[in-house]
Amino acid sequence: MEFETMSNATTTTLKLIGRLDTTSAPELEAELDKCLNGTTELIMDFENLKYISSAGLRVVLKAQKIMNTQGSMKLIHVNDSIMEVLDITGFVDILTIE
Amino acid sequence: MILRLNNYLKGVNWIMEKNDSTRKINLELLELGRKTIANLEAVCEEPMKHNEALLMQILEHNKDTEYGKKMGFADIHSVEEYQRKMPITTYDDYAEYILRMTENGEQNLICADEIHHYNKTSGTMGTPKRIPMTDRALEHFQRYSLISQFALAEKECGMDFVNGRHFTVAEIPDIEGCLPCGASYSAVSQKVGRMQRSLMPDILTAPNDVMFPVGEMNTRYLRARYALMERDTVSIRGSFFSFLLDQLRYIESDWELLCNDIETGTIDASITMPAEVRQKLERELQPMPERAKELREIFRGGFETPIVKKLWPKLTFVSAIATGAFVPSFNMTRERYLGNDIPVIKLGIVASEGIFTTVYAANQDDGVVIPDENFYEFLPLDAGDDFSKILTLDQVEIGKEYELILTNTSGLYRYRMKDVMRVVGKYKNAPTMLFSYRRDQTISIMGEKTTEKALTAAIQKTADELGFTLVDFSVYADVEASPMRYQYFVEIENLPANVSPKIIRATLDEYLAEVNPSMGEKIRAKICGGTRLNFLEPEAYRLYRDMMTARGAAAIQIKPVHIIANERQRKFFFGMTEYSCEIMR
Repeated sequence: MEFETMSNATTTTLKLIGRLDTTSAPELEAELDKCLNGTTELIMDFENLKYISSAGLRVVLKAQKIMNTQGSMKLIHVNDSIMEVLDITGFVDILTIE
Repeated sequence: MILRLNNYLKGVNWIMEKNDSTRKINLELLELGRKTIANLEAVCEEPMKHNEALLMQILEHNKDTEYGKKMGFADIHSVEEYQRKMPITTYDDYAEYILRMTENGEQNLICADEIHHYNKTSGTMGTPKRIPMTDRALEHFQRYSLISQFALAEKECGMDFVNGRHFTVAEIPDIEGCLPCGASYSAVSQKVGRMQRSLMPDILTAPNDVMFPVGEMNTRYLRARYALMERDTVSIRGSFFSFLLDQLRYIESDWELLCNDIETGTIDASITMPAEVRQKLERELQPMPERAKELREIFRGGFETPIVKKLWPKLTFVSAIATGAFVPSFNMTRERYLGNDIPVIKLGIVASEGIFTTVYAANQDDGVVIPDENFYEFLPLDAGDDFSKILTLDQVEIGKEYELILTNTSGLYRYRMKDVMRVVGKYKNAPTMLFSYRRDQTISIMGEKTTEKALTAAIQKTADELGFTLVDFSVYADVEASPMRYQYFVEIENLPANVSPKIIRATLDEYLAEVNPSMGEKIRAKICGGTRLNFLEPEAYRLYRDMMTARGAAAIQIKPVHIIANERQRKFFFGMTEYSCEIMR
């Protein structure tokens, strides 16, 4: 799993590349810990995300909870297979997806 | 030097004062617990006499309410008359009254007492309801569900525990729900927790900032952190064993982070909480390098043998609801973390409508009906809806199952609970019972009616025989398959290398046939298909809990989804399936 992080003053865009699974979820968690301080808008770009597991979903949920208290979060460029996972697990009702 | 010594002495005095107040409050609660158990022992000598007397008191007290006048409570003078004149009721019979009470603040409609609190039901079977609860009922609920534990623990292992603090695995929203009438509105467990708020700082390991979280907080970490810091912790307590399991699993997975923070007296930046709470907690925390070192050594020894007594050598008892849907989580907690030596107080049968049974000894599965708490009636399961066959407390038989019909002190009369209880014995002269299942928590695709209890038994026996750890399970009635069948969803751990999914599936079907022969017959006759077994991703149930709390559900009320009852649950568990196993035709 690779991450590309772009930050300006208050907006952080995090591009996820590869598989977000049990192994890579803690890496994303660590990345979020580093970049969320002072961020009021978090954008997670899922264009090149190939797979997301329950562990990955938990980290996304955690990010959403943090951003609920300090700003907003949205997912962009969610491909069909990931969208299907978000839909069947009920995450589409909790997350903002563009 | 003098200043340092003074500060040291101040610290010692502070610790002594804290220990004194811990002991004082524990002793007060123990004394109240002793009185509660003494009263229980007394009323259990002549349970029917006390139960009938309570019914007469309820009718007399409420005879001038709108409902009491309508039903002629003033003219009822015996149990038989009550059964003849008063119909069996459901929530729908009270909905209009409760709406007037909660929206307009009207009083004296179904209950003479002023109602200051309404219980929010968990909504397991539909929209949450508003269940009135009088101050008396709340106080009794508190006594029989929490405080009596102290007296039972004393009987089992003496009273040394009064010197230590309790690791309570619960969280209560800081802001309480409020109805237009001004009454509070929350889960009964939250209300009872709130009633003990002023005592908590002295007897719990975690401070109130953790027990009553504000905003988004990693309470799993914080509860674990404070409990681990407190070597002299004397008990672990929670509502349900699933909470205790979840908490101990967190400690197992994150012990290094916890130890690092305990060593330095800090809270890792990755732990979510509002800045002001972090500031306050960090100000109060002190580095504990010795304790961190001790904990690391214990954790590095691994989790192959039960660890809690190593972490907390003075641990005296553990308490939570362990029956019904919580059997799998209790078994797993016992096997992996507790071992068999620590007394477990399993709590009785409780609901938003009140407390019905209370445990009378540690390590007992069953609880005794509390004769002076509610008026109880029992509908035999084979009676269907023939209410003429309803029995009273003195008429039930050991070994039989009944649906509970309740008259409580908060305005519910002959209220159909839909909870099925099994009578298993006697304590003094009162029946002891186990919760069996909810009458509407039954799965049936071809008339076979498999209860949640049977579904639990089948998968638990499979796990025990094949030697894997069952985290949790859910079952879906697959009526679209041909032939129709059950789909089990399981999250498992520690699967032995020689056990294949095929073996698990076949063993499960064997046990399913054993616990419900009707289903076994139907599978053999190919009326129903064999079970399809779906293996869930690791931590799927933890994710489900997190997702439900993100949707606004109270964490304390999220029960295991053993029977998939709605589309959201169906989609979630199918979505979390890693792989499946079925009989190929």
